[in-house]
Amino acid sequence: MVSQSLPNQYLADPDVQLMLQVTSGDNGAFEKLVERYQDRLIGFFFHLVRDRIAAEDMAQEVFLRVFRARERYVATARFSTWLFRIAHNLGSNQRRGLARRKEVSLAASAGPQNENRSDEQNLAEKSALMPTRQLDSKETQDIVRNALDGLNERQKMAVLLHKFEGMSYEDIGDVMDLKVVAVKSLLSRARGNLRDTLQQHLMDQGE
Amino acid sequence: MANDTKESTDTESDGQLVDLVSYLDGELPDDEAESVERQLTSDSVLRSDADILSRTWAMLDSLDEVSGSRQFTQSTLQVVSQEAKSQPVTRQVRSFRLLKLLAKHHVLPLFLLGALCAATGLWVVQSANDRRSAKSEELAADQIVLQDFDMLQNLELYQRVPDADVLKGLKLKTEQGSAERSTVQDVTEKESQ
Repeated sequence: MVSQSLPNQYLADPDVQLMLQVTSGDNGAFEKLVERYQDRLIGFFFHLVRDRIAAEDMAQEVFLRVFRARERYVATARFSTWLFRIAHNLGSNQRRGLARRKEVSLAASAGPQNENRSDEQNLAEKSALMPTRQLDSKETQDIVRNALDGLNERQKMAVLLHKFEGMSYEDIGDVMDLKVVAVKSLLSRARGNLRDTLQQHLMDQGE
Repeated sequence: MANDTKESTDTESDGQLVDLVSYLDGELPDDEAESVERQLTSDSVLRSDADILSRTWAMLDSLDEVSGSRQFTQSTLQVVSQEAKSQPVTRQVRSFRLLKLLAKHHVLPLFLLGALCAATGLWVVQSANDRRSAKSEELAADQIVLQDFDMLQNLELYQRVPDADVLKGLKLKTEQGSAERSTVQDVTEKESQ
């Protein structure tokens, strides 16, 4: 086990231990971290920018930043919190850049589902053979995605970290550099907005 | 931001929504959670609102989970490996960047100017020292001249003397002359008395 001069609570985190091994030059430990976190990071960025290739590029950039930071790494938080702090900073800058350049195309906003769907699925859709339930599901996905995109950047970040990463308010505060009370307020507004956008669809489904 | 200012619903205040959401997320302390539970028990509108909040939140589960492509891990490790290999080069580039930065902020020209000034100062001090030592040598020579000034005044006369015997003879004659002069003087004095 790699240890630091001052013992702290975060050393119990196995991923912190892996990162400390990376600090000592263990490339195998870095590979394990990539394997453990790649899907979570790609998912996080995909929900943020709705472009699979961009999401993979951003996730790769996060791992590169982790590697570059290895020599000055100090365990001051759980590894996932530290990792998503880097991801949050990158995501914020990226979104600002995208907003400035207005490069988010409608094609990208259609998401990667079109790329990932099998030929059978596409054929079924074209021939109108897709079951109604599947169409409903796709429609629901589009509505939910649009509702999520309707949130402002900080609300969306907080929702993604809470809903998909299962982070506590305190961890979200660490990642986004906010006080817990600010996270509470941010998430309550976000959920209020989601409710306002989605409840009609919810009622329609209930009918 | 439009979403921030958007009214949530007419059924609850902002504080109530914050408490309700925090309660649903399990982020309220026990005493506050109990308070919200009491309100939910007694307020059907609030209860309905909590239900809608929960169900709309659950709708986010319908979004697809995205995972990395098969090549992602390998390509990431390759990128990192290249990064590790290029680090010494990066350091050289950083040094060059530092030099450019210094030049950009006129640090390098100022440094060169300072070095030039220092060299000039050294040269001036060295020249002054040289001049001072030359002057000291001149003063020492003058001192010697002053010490032997009497001899130097008669140097031409001394140079006419062929050798030391002439000088000795001259000395004897001088002594005899002065003895005669003193005898004549004594005689003269006695006669006058």
